[in-house]
Amino acid sequence: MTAKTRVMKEYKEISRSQADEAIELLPDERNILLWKGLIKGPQESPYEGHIFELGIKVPDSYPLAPPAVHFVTKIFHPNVHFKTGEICLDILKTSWSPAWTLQAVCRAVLALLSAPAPDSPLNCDAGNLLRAQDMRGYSSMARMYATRLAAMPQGSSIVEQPHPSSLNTFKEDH
Amino acid sequence: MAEPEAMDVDVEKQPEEEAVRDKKGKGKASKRFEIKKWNAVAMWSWAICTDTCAICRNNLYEPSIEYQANPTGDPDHPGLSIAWGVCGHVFHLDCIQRWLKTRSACPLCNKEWEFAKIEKILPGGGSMGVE
Amino acid sequence: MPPLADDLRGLLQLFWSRLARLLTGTPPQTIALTGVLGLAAFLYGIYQLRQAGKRRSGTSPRRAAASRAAFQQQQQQVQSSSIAHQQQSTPLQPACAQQSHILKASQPAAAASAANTAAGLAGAVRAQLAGVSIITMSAPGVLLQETEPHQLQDGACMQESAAEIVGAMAQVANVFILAQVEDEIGEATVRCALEEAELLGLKQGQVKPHRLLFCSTLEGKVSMVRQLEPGLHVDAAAATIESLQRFMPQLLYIQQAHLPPPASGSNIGIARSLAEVFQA
Repeated sequence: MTAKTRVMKEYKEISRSQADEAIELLPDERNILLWKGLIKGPQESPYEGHIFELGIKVPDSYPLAPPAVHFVTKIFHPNVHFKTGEICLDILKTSWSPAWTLQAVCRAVLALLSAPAPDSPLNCDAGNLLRAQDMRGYSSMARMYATRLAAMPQGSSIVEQPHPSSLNTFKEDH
Repeated sequence: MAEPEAMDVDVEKQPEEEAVRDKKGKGKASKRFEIKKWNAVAMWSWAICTDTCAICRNNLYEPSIEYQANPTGDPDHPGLSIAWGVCGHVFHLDCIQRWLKTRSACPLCNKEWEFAKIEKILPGGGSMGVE
Repeated sequence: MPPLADDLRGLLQLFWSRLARLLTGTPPQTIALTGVLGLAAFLYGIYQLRQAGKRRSGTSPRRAAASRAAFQQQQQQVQSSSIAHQQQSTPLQPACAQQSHILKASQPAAAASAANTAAGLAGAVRAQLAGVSIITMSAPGVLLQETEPHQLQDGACMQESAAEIVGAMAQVANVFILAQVEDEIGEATVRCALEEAELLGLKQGQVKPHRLLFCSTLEGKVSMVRQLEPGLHVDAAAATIESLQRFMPQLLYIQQAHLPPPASGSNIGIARSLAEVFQA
């Protein structure tokens, strides 16, 4: 019960305050506890220029328990499982605090994209590339997958619903 | 507790308070105007840096959202009290008590939590109005 | 009067008198029944003749039209297929050859011959790659004559017929090209060489530009191949082949003249060049 109240308050805060340019949070029309997050790949990272979708499920015990966040858009990153989109982020597990909000969680995910941690990888191949200090290979793969799988923003604003560009015609489920 | 900010009664001076409500006097330097009626409004606050409980996002002068969802009328309900930790952060008593069942760390600074002070908030909110 | 004419007249008169006697002698119902039956038989005979005529004349144009349509469809498949269904691959090739003999005249000769050449290479490649949907290859030593990263600083030359084979591969599977380079100069060199060979692009038979990947280390290249999970990986570096042996279903090692081959394995094929394996 209080989870919904707290989420509604956050929604009002988001609508009222100046929208973060790189994060857009959209609640599901039928269920206030289901959210879609759209984050812009951070600049000077191989994800730059692409938009990634996050699926956010708010539990009933929120904010005492963390929301379940996963990548809907597939992404090549050492701390994100390539196939399931599970994110290995401490604040989503052991270091959660009720002071965090959905927007703050998205910001933490963006920070993770800029600064991957290869020591606790959910994607071993990405982790190995970073451990071998092969930044060229890591960036190459991340950019390739972002081009194939992530949407490009329409114009310069993230406000409109992004849709895949014509280049993203891939054939297999990879 | 901070002293209540009082309105300056002098007609000639501009009011300093920003959040003025129902002020009818149009005090200006010129003496062509005379005050017919004056509604003074005062604000008071606890001497703390923030006025929102980080757990339920309600104002600390208001009861917690848990109490607001189920108001029992019991004046000793923890939703009607606020609690300080030794780190200086403050939350509604029921909010912090529920969080401490999960982890005994301050939600804001992650230091080990220890109660420093507990006080009741006044029923009906923390603003006094002189109408 | 000639005697023949007399005989004929006599016969006719006899026949006529007999017929008249028969017609006047029999009851009228019999004549009516006989007439009706005769008419029905006559009409049935006409109907049968008509059907026979239709069947004989209708079959050949219909059969020719159907086979022409099938041949055009197969030509389109050969020229512009993305991922061919592997079950159809082998029957497709002989059927295509058969139709081309029957209906040579109906197609322009140039188009038919070009299609057959491309069909020949595509068919050979498709046959070799049955069941493979992702192919990765390391450019140095396989596509390029240069084998070491430092050799890519000055320029890169494509190997003979490598571009055509990779183009044919790109028609049947998703192709990724990897290259281990030292710096941006190496990247640019490899990219230019592939662009000049018209291997990079968005058309059918080209590798998409974002599928050209670079790395700086051998371990990095191994991780990248493992991430891509190809059905076949082609490499000219024995160390890479050995690292990948446990994880890949199929590996192809392009042998370098002066270097020892990798340890053998059931999933490792060895050849001197791509052309040796895939040329029709």
